[in-house]
Amino acid sequence: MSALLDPRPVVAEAPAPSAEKALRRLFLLVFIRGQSARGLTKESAPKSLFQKMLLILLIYGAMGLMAIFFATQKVFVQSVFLHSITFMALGMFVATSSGEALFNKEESEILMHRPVTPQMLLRAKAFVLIQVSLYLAFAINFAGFFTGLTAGDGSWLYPIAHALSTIEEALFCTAVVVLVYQLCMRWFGRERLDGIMTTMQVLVVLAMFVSSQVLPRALMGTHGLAVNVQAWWIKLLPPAWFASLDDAVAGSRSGSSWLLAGVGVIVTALALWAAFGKLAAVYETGSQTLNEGPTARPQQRVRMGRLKRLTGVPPLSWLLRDSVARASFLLVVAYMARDRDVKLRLYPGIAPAMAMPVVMFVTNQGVGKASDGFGGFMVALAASYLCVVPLSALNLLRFSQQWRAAEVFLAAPIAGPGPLLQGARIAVLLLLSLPMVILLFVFAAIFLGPATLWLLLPGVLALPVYSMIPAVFENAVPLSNPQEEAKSMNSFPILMLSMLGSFGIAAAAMALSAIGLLPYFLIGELAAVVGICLLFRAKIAKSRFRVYD
Amino acid sequence: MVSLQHLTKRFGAQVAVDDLSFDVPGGQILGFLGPNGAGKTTTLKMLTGMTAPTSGTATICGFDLLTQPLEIKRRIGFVPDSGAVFESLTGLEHLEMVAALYGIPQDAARARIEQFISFFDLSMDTLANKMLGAYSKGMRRKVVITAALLHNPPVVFFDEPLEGLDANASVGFKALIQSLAREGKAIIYSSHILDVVERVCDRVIIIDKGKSLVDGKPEELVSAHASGTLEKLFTHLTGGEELERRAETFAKTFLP
Repeated sequence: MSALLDPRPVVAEAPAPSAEKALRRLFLLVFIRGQSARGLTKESAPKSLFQKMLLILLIYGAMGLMAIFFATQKVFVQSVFLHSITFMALGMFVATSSGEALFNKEESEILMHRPVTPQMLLRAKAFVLIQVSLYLAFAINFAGFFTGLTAGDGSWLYPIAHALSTIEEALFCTAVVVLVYQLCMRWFGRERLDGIMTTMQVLVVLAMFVSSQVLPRALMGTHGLAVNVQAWWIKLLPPAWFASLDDAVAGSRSGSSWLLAGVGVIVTALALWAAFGKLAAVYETGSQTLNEGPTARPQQRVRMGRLKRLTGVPPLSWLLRDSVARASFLLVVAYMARDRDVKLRLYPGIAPAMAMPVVMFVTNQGVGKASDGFGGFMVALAASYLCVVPLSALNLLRFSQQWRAAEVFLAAPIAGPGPLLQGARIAVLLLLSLPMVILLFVFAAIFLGPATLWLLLPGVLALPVYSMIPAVFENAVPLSNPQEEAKSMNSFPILMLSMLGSFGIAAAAMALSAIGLLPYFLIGELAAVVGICLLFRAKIAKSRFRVYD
Repeated sequence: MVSLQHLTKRFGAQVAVDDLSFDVPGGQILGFLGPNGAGKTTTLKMLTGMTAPTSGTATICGFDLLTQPLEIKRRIGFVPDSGAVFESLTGLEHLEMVAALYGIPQDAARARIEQFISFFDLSMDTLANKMLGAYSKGMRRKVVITAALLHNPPVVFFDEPLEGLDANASVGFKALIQSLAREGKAIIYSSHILDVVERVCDRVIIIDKGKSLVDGKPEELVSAHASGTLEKLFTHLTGGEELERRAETFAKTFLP
């Protein structure tokens, strides 16, 4: 026994330099693994972190392969596309990861009483966020490094310039998101942090998504790529700053490119300084107050009465006639409205899916051109793309910090998770999908005329089927899985297949509409939807609970 | 009321519960003891249908665990050691949700909840307006106990139920389970607080490494092993004495 212990007291006067290294290693491990010990199960514990990371990088790399389509374009155009995709992917990744990574209540209980300073925690977390962002950014841009060499005005310097601008972009994304959190903490304080964080995260994701979607579309004219570099609004968008660095070093080398590249460098440097230098003290305060005693959160008191009454009125009372489904509905609604952890994951996660149909409408291809083939396709696609909303939302609602509380479902006399899944499904369809459907119909009626409303129907009809997919193919019992598992990419293939399905529905609807067969298509689709829903319902009724041993 | 027949649970090569068999009649409070990792919680989770046994079975109220799990679940209450609750619900919402899971009509559920509120000295205002995340550990535990007893089950499993309860609430809780037993309910009470078990339970089973070591009335077991107290018997049976010796040696390494 004595050989194991050195009897001398081990009291260091200052945090050991190795502590920061250990923290970086810890955060990286936790981040990549995406599962804490409590959530590990024998069948799902990652066998190799390297393999897990490699899989993620391969997926991001595949996303970047679309650079091949722009291989013959000029450096600036290519780079704008690459940086837009990177900006969207990184922005969403950092925005959705950093809330939990930066302000984790449990972690503060584990680490804050140890000899580590909040600044060390912030530095270590930022280091890991930047490190993983860089991995992802380089994976997305891997193909782009080679296609850049073939650009019309490109040179051998392109890979070097693009590597630098990619690093700059990763630093910018991380710094801006961290800065937003710091500012929220400083301006609004701990009490309102949860709501503000959710709102800000959604806004950051939306801003990054819209800028990454609007910029390439705006650059793409009806007759292929037609870039007006002089357009004033291009200069306002960060992907253009980073693309300008490529253009300045390895493309046109124009003065305006140098100027924009300079703006990018200065803004990135300022964001880094503000996030990790100037406002670092705010993080200290935030970390300390995060773990203060439980607050009553009076502003979040019960406002469920009206909704409860609504569940007693048709059609909700029909859909929720099972008392367990009704309980599940109210539980999910409460979590969607109140729970910080769920809100931080759910709304930023579905914001792009909710914004995409609107983007399709407001870009040139959607508005005013429904009469031509492509415009009509985009209208139909805007509605069928809505399938991603319930699919993503139900997948995200599986996770909760209080997943252990879902043991009450296991101990209760319920044959299987069917009624729980039904309650969650209705909550998501009512609160997320229905408003989007109404919005789309209003948009279509105002901008495109009532005649185009028919094109929205195929997508809307398919919604019930898509909303059942998480229940059929995933363990989608609401709030019953450890939140750490939310980082795993298991639902990605199903999401991709569903999106392909939505493209198929839109294409078929458009094609049949062009030859006057849309009404028949709708009748056929309705029959198929009813059939598939019945099939899925039978499968869900047979499903059993997943148990953590 | 509860009967285990060769109940076994394996996780790969590890045997968590090893061929456990015993009966608990109605009206009895069984203290279910064992060191950490002995298999207590796994046994309770098997009996509550939360995890499937590898082999063996059990019957509760005459229903078979493997073939009639829903019938069993309707007749049992369970207070898990995690004490986890949905923190973004109010206490009342949580209890109403649990009532719905058991198919208790809303009015009947509300009446039962009010009974428990009065017993546990909780305020309806707090229960209806404060989210569970803002409750103290003890208050949360009271909600969990209420949730387990809401449907008035004939068999109740308690896994470390006193954790977080203050002295007064603990006294009240002990009186509650004794009166539940007097009503004829079978109670299986798993805990590390041995003096409470000694005072409350009619019978004690100590398990280690998934196997039953002793089974009998506390006073009879103590006198049969000449231990003096249940705690001493427990440490003697489960290797605690060796740990005591190691602790003494360990502490000496800190001396200047």
